[in-house]
Amino acid sequence: MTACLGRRVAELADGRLVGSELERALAHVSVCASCRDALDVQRSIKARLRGSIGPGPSDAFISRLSKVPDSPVRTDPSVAVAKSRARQRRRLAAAGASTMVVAVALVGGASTLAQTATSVPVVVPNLAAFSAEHVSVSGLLPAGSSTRAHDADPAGTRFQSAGVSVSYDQTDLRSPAGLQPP
Amino acid sequence: MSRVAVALIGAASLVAVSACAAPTVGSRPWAAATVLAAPVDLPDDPAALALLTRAAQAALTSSYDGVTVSTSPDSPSPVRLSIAHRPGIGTSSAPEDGSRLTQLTPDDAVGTALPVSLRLLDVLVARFGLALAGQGVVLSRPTDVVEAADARGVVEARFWLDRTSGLMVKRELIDPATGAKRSTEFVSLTVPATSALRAATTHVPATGPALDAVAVARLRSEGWICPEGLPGGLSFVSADEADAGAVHLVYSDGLDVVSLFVQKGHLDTEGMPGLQSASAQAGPVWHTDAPVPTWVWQSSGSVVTLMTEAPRTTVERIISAVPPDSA
Repeated sequence: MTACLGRRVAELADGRLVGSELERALAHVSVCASCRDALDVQRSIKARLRGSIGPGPSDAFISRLSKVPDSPVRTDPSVAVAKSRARQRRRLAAAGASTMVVAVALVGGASTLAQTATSVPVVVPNLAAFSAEHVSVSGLLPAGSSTRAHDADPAGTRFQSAGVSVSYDQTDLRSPAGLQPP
Repeated sequence: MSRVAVALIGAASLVAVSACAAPTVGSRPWAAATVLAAPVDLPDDPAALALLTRAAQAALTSSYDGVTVSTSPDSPSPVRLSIAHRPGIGTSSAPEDGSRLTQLTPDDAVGTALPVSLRLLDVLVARFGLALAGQGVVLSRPTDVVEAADARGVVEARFWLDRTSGLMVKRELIDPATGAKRSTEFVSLTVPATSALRAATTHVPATGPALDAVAVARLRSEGWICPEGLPGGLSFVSADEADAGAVHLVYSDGLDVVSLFVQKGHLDTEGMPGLQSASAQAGPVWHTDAPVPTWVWQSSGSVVTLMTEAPRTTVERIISAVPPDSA
């Protein structure tokens, strides 16, 4: 019997062995229970990873995100106005509209643009909800000193995330104590 | 045409759209981070792998009570937690002094008290070379010691695995940049548990609906911040829908977990009580250590929220990979 595969078991499980190397490894595994068991462990882990892939895409969620306008910090207003007017001109030219209508439409286009610019969302991250989601993937209890046990929620912030409520003490979240620059 | 075929064509179209319409790296500086996190599947010692696999399974199938102590250079004092696990229910954890809520992490969540869940173990296997380094004793229990070394052979983690129960009873992480150590270990442990599980007052919520590869590809094609990897060998693990239209991106090297929450919009810097303005090397950020270490910044039309217990050196590199807009 040839020598045990050792670390090459991982390469075999990964499909990285080819040709005569692969044939020798397979021949060895067929007669060596120890390497066969090790190969089973490797394959088992890879199968679990494949099984951990989540459900299908949330098209509705992605579509909602696609409708969020870009931030004004990314927008060059002059370019945006020019593109908006070009779009209006093409649309109206195709319809055979008069010059007067074009002028009215341009005013309407500018109005729409202004409305879009002001609808860019102003974001305040929901740190309490985010931290709960982070804990759900990291499995680590927050080590910060901000959360306190309390029976009710008179001074705290209660939020709902994924159907489960979690509460944190708002007083402490607002406290500058414990804040440190990185 | 079958639905599978339609899906495949749809996916191919998205890839094509992504390739054609993707902005250049200059307008997507975070895209460069992908290169830094190219996966390298190092060979592993089958015995070490078997021990870690057993530990991951034992964490789910064993009934135990104990107290863990965690130390970190970024933490002012050690954190002592009462930990209890019951198979099929989950892991409850709370500070030993009762200063905080008892929290229950269901068994079907990704993490466990000592993070050896199977999914992250797989990332660990892909990122590091695992080797059986020797034997040790923790709490008078004989243990096997497994080391995880990077591609240069530098040991970045050690695990102490109880021979009797199979449980991981100690974990030590070593920052390769500074040599600083973080550790979590049981200072008391009863297997099987002899007492009733403490009633939990909070439940760790499940994450939102997962986004699959096609959905993530679509986000990338539309210019969302969504690196395929982050500096420090952090690989993309998953994406899901988060609160208020945010996308929750999860990265890990099998040792640390990084959450990036991305929201389109303009950061309201005056609406964030509790966060302090701070300067990362790459630009202005806002920071707090509670409830978990958090950094928030504006980057290319998006608001990025980073949460992780990883070393500050790693945090700086992540921020540099998704650079803040200049003030």
